[in-house]
Amino acid sequence: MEIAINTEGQSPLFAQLVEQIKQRVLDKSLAPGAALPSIRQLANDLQLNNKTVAKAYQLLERDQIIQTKGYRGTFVHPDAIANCTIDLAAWVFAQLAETIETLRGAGTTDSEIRIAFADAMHNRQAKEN
Amino acid sequence: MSIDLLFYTVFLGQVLLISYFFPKKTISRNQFILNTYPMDEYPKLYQNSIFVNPDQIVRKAMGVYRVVNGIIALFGLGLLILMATSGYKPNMIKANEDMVFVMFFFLLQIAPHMVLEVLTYKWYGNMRKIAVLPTRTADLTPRRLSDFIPLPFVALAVFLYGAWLVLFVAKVGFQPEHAASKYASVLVITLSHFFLAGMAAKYIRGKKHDPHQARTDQMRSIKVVVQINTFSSILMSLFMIVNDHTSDFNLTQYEPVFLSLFLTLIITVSVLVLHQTNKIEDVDFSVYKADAAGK
Repeated sequence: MEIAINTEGQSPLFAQLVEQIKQRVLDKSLAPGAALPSIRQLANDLQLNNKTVAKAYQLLERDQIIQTKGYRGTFVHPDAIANCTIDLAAWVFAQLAETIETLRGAGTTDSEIRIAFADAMHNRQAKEN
Repeated sequence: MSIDLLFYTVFLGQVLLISYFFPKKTISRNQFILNTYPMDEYPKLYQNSIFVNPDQIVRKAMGVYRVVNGIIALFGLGLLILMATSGYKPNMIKANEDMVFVMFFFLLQIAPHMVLEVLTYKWYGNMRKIAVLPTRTADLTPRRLSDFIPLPFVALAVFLYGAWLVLFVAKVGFQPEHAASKYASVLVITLSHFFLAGMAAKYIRGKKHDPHQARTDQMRSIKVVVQINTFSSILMSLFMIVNDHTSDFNLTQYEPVFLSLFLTLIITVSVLVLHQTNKIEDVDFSVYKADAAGK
């Protein structure tokens, strides 16, 4: 089963990769438990940076669509089909939209919301580092 | 059969196979491509930023390749005639410490092939620089060693390397004062095996050399490299085992015969694997057409 990446497309390369793999899981050409190529193989075949493929694999692993079993390789998660239907990006968007509406209702301006969001993200990153 | 006659036969085989028969096959393979898939119909096959008329350059290179191999073949035949007429006995090669000349002649024989390999590699490098493929495709199936060679052959290669190492240590023994000289060959042979294994791994996981190559052809190319490297490793270990123990069986005089036979076998196996596994008729040349999308 093949995937295709468009380097001139609108969406980022890692996002295209995530979507294509999810699509293959949903159309059942990738069955649960099926082995996936290594990051290096896929990056070489698609002429992408290893980090781009690694990022896509990280996101897919976080969403429990794939699972890494140490040196044995990467496999499709047993619950991948069910987990593919959960759109985390859409959920994040909905949560933010709701929060923005609440903040606007309290009288804050868009600039204040943006600055507060940036500060919150910055503080979080500083704490993590 | 005397050692001399045996050496003449084996060395003649080495000269004819490596410097005449195999180059002829390579030239006919390239001429078939040039004649069947011309530049105006298959422009991507000839895409190159360096040459104005790439097909003419290939024809010229093939001509030079033919002449150089012809000269080397004549030189080899000349050596044989000189040996036969001057009274130099091949059974004295080992005793006279002239083994290096058998090796040197082999290196001379493979030099044009190596140059051709380097030029092909550079050619693909230029193709990759030019090829603009906004849509890139990949197969979601992992490539494993067993896809390219039956694993018992790999196990045999590992076993024979281990067997050679054990036999070598058992014969030479641990003598710290001579370690550097005695174990230098262990280092060289081990590094050679690692090189063959590393090269196979790089082909399995690495980038396509030819950016337009169809997936099935890429798989066949990988199969050729993996099989050639595995068989070379097996032959190298077998040769080393035989070579290290000739004195035990009073066969020291046969060492030049074994060396010539081993070198010829390695090249023969490589050429056979290439022509059997990657037949030119099976290659998908449609990917090199002007309107072909990447496969």
